[in-house]
Amino acid sequence: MLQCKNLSLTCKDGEHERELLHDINLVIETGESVVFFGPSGSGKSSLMYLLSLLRVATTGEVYLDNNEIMSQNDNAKAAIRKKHFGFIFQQYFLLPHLNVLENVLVPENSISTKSKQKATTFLEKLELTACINKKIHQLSGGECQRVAIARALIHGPTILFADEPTAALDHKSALSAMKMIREHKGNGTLILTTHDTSILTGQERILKLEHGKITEIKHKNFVQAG
Amino acid sequence: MKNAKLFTALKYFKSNTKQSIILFSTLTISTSCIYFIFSIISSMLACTKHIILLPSEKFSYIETNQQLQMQDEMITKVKAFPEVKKTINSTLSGICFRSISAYLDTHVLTIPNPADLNYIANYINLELSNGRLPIEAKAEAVFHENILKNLNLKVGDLITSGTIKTPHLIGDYKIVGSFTGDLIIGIASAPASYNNNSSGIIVIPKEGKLNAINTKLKSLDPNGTRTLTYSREKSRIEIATSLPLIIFKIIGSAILITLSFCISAFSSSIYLKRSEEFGIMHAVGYDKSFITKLIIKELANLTCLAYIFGCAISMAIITIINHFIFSPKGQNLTILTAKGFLGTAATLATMFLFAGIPILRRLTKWNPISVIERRN
Repeated sequence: MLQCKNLSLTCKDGEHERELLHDINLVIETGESVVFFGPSGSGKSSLMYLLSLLRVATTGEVYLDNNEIMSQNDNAKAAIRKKHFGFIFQQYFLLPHLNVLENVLVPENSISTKSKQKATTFLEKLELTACINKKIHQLSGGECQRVAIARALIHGPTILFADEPTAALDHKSALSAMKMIREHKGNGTLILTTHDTSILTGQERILKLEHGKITEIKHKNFVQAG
Repeated sequence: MKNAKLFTALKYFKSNTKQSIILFSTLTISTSCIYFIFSIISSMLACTKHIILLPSEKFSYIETNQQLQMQDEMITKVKAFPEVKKTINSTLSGICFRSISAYLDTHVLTIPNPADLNYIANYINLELSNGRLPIEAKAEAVFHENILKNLNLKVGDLITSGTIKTPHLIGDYKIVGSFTGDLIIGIASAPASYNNNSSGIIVIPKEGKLNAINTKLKSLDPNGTRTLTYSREKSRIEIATSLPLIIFKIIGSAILITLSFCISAFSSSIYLKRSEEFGIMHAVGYDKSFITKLIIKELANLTCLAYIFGCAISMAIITIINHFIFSPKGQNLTILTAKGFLGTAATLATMFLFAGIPILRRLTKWNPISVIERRN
């Protein structure tokens, strides 16, 4: 279970302080799929970065299985991310000097036969067998995103953070990527940010963010109707 | 392969061939230059020490100040010192040897007594490489083969006094032989006209008594004598090498500092371009100490490889230069030098620090989210 209490984030905007998130309280159960939905600048990515410990909150706490994790030191946070979290970014952020297989192995930092076998199996499921030894610049956008999905899931994270994972893809590829994410996340929790509700299936809990606050908690049909 | 890690020290550079070649070549060439500079300075000092200092480690010399005949009374006094093994009547003169750094005055010992001449030849382990030793009552000389090469002379030639290279030579000699060995000197028999009138004596000490005898010889100075001892020769070296050394050190330091800054700036720029890679690694769970260690390992590996290749290239270049330029002139650049290895290592370590510290300082302050958000 991931929980946050009184989470706020302010940043300096010139001489003024701007509040990006204001007093967010949230509980995400294990295995749940949650979508942060909202326009650009609403604070959805910031909230995801806070929950995933990539960013430090101005005030508030984050709990993972009832253990407070926001106040941990930098190395401890990195260890939590490595063990429990998986990340998919809009721009993929694959390492260009590594090939596809090596990129998938990044979270494990291992090129043992066992790890390679595991990664190869994963890549086969994502229909990337032909790309295993290719460099990142040789891949299409859709392929890159599938490699990023494989990288995020290879070590079996309990929570998968996906920040606008389909924003750089066409609609067909976006639906395909989302299908793969849902299929392969297993029993893990999915936390997703998006401004495109067409990729959602209706199984997700949707939290609408506006001006740094959660304003509505809805399901897909409500959002689309609204 | 079983427990092999993905992020190894040279992984990035193996995958970025072009960048790696540029960085590695720059580091290697710089290392070569640094080793070469150290080698030149070491060679300069070694050559000077070899020519000036080595003879005075074997024997001392005492002569009258006015280069007149040495008084019997003085010779008796010196012979009476318990530290003295043997004294040999001799006149010391010199010829110019063009070393790497400067013109050095090398010793020519004119020894009238053939038995003494043979004794000194044995004492200094002289090994004839060509010709023979001088014969009694003839103005003949043997020289270390490096001197002959340096002066462009050969066995059978006549070496005359008063030329630009032989201003202090006391007579004209026929060169009858050349030798090899530690001491770069000349040994001559006295001309008939010389009639056994040596202006000084070679003082050969008993084993381990060189310092003691030198102290006693020095105390004779007020009595109208001049001594050639180890400490006096050391002072000569300092005078002979001080100016060239300062110039070398200034030029060398300027080159080293410039190289250090260029290499450091270059490698820093490569690493700063990789901040996205490090940001992603940190985001997916690698802590900063892992990334720091990876950077240090990468830089250390590159530096070590550049050190090995750079020194090897430099040594190859020095060998070639020695063979074609210096060796024919009887000079030598030192190829293997401890100062070269240590100095180069120290300079590379400085470069390593110059390059590494700004990268690591930035890494400690930097936040991976800035990389992710910039792209988003």
